[in-house]
Amino acid sequence: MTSCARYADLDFVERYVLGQMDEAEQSAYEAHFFECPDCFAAVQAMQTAQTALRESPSRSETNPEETNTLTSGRVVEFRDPAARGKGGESVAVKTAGSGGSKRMISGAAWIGLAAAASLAGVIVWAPWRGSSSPEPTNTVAQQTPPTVTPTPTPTPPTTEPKIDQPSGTGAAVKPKATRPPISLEALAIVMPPPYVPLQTRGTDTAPGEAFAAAMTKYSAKDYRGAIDALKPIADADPQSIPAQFFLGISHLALNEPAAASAVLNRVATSNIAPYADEAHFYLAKAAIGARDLDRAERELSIAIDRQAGPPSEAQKLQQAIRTYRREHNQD
Amino acid sequence: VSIAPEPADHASLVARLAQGDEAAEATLAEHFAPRLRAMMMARTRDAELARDLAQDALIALLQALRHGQLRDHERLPAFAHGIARNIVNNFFRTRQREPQSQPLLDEMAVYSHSDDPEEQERLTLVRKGLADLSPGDREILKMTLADGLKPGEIAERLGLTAEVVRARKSRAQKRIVAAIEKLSRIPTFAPRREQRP
Repeated sequence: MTSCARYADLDFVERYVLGQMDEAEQSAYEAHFFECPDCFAAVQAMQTAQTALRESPSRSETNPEETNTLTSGRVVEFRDPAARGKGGESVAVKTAGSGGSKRMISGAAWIGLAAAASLAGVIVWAPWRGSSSPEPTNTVAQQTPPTVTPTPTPTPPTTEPKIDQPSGTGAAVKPKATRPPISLEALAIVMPPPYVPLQTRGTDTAPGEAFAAAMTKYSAKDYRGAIDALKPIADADPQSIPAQFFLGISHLALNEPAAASAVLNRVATSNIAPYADEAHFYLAKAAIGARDLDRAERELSIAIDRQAGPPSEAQKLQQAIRTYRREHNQD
Repeated sequence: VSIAPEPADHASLVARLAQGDEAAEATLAEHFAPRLRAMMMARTRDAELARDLAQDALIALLQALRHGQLRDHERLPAFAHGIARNIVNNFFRTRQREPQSQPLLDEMAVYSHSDDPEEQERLTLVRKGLADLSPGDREILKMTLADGLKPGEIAERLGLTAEVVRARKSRAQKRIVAAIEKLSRIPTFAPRREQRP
């Protein structure tokens, strides 16, 4: 129970967190907790508990003897030594996120950073900023195996899992949902980074106006229109790195990897931050689209080194490509 | 009693935003980003997508406020929610090339941790609260929140009655909410205090 007079029952919170409300009720509840700190705290508590509980093994997983009494299903034992601690205990398989200082920028700071990054001082490009902190996304997460699991889930196991074995040496786990096959088409999908214009001195110049007009189309997801508007700018001025960067992203959004790669190569060699670093992540995407996985892995290595792309996405993408290659005998 | 932001805070914040006050932008982000993320998480059940949509909503909110599109400043929370709802509804309407054959795995529908100290503190408190529950109550809460099972289904699995499951689930939920009570009382619109009361 919360101290809120209107939604005191925690059933509301539970149904909201589990997505069991219809649109009208959901919307009304959201509108309420945007103003009610008690209810918002309860929502946060429940979502956090949901996270913590998903990460924790159930009793049936930590105590194999309870498996038969709590749940039914096969007991699967992984014998991958890489997924075990020194003492034979199970260990978490976790991919380290980039999560560095670059990613944790305050609401005010990201505006300043982006403004500093723009060439003419007229652009706010805030691709991966966070306050406390919204971060960008990418659909790779839908493709990669789970990266944080409390049970030994080798990715992939170097030996075949043994079915119906007693769990004398390893933790017993319930069979997990089968991971969907990895497809390169899905890995190549790009979520274009957002772009926010900031009106300051200098926007009245002709190139500035043309760029602003192009980026209006970009922000409206009119990528063909953005390409038509950005290409003359990029052709006229090879140093117009922001225009070239977003031109490349627009090509990627339209699944034109060759055109994207040609433009982004120039951006990557420009050494103009943050575009040059970020370009490597998108060059990897273009390479995946062109089925050049060697190139994709090279670009991802650079992206990881420079913390480019959405947080930890380059690592996930690299892992997914390696898994894909292993599963398709392309090592 | 929780400390809620006063309407005057909203009016003041909106006025400062219209003047291009960067500190006000930071305050706006600090206050609404967690709410937007929670909302997007509930609607998408995809942590990374939720962060992205929350960011889109925050940007749209900031732009709208910069352009003075909110007339009644005291309605800032409703305005923010309306923008966020438009963003997420528009996303579901217009998303293209989504790999429909690639359903989300349960493990992916989890908030990814950030380095935000408040979020970390909340997670620590919740974990402690979970550890303090009896194993049975914790299992029931896990089956409810993580596995999405109904009390009847849990009762069947555990050999209990549905009424008992409801009672134990309710008890566990209250303890978890109580575990972060101190954290939840931070007045987010007020200047940061050195430590929580």
